[in-house]
Amino acid sequence: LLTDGAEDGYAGTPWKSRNYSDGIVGLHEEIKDFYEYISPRPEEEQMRHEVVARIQRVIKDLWPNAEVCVFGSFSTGLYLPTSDIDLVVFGNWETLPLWTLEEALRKRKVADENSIKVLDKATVPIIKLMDSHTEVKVDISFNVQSGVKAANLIKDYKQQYPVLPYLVLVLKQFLLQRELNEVFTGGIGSYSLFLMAVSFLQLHCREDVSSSNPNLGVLLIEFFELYGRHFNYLKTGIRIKDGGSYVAKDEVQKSMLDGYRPSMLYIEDPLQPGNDVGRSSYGAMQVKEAFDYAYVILSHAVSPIAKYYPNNKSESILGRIIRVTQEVVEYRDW
Amino acid sequence: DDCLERAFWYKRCHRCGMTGHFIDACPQIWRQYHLTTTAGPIRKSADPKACQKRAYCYNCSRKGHFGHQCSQRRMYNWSYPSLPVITYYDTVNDIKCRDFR
Ligand SMILES: [Zn+2]
Ligand SMILES: [Zn+2]
Repeated sequence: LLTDGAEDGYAGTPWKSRNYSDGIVGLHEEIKDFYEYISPRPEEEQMRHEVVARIQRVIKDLWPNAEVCVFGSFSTGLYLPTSDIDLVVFGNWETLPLWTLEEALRKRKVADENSIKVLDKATVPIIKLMDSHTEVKVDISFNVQSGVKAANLIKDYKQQYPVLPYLVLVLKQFLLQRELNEVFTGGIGSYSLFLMAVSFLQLHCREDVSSSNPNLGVLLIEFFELYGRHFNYLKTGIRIKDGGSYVAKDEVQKSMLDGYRPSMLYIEDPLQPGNDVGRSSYGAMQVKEAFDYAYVILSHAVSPIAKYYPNNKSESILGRIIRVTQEVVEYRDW
Repeated sequence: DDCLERAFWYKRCHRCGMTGHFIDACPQIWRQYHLTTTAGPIRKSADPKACQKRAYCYNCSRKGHFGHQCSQRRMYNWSYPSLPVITYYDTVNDIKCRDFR
């Protein structure tokens, strides 16, 4: 059964179940299909809720008054099948009970023996583990409010801009497969990516980008065009609050104490204006290069000249910049 | 013959008037579909040149103009701005014309 348009073997485009219209309209249709495909199915969501419940039981048995909150992509709904679950535990401790919880999770066999790690030297100390039943990865932090607040902000912007989920999931997959989706592998974090998408919509010259049914292909290419080509990372920073604006980086620097320089990708945190979300995104220029590449590929693929490529009916335009691995397809099939 | 692009001494698009590309590679060709999501005629905006009132420049970061209108130096010399608003929507004939070029 070749549902992904492959003549033989695996094409990497499992979302493609039909032939699309020509050009940019076809790209719009394909983004919708990708979104439907990659979005969590009810069973997957259920499975993740069960992971949370297992961990919550261990925590409640240790500290009955502790509160466990889900934040990050699992709470906003903007997650890929392989995304982590982010949990935060609120309670009263003299020192963070990282090792106590680690031991309990190990004893109760919630976590895979070799998968559990305590990162106690990190800026935000966390426990990392893989759930032994589902192989879903989980990060647990303690008494940190910011993630929960950010998740609420993301949910608000999702309401305001209906196109955001479509753009963000394509962009997340795009960065994930290039290993540009984490700050420590030379990429950008998902909060930065999300705020970039919000700013793109807030400051878009055409007001109809927030209309109910704009062409998603046009918006995706325009996102890549802005951040891959036009955005001047040297001079310009992003501000989200009060409806959005750009800020001059040299002025940001003047306002900063002790000579701190704004990072290459400067994004003012709408929840905490003194905080630069893009700081430590040393890989911002690599991300910019990847966006520029995507701009070139997609704008060519939707141009009228591309019509004369052989087999364009069976080919995927979106598949030129993103692929879903066979492991993910199999993981989701069981 | 109207379909043929005349040779120009420098790369300027006579569809959108911007420098840096010829008419066949004009981003307006795909951008004009910004409201069209199904095959068939192009859905036009009621006021295609309407821009947001609050303009901010992605190039120099200042308020009052958009990035494509900026006269300041770009981050890269090779990059040319493009027009985010639609100057012209193709008719069915225009599209046919381009297909047979
Ligand atoms: Zn042009
Ligand atoms: Zn400017």
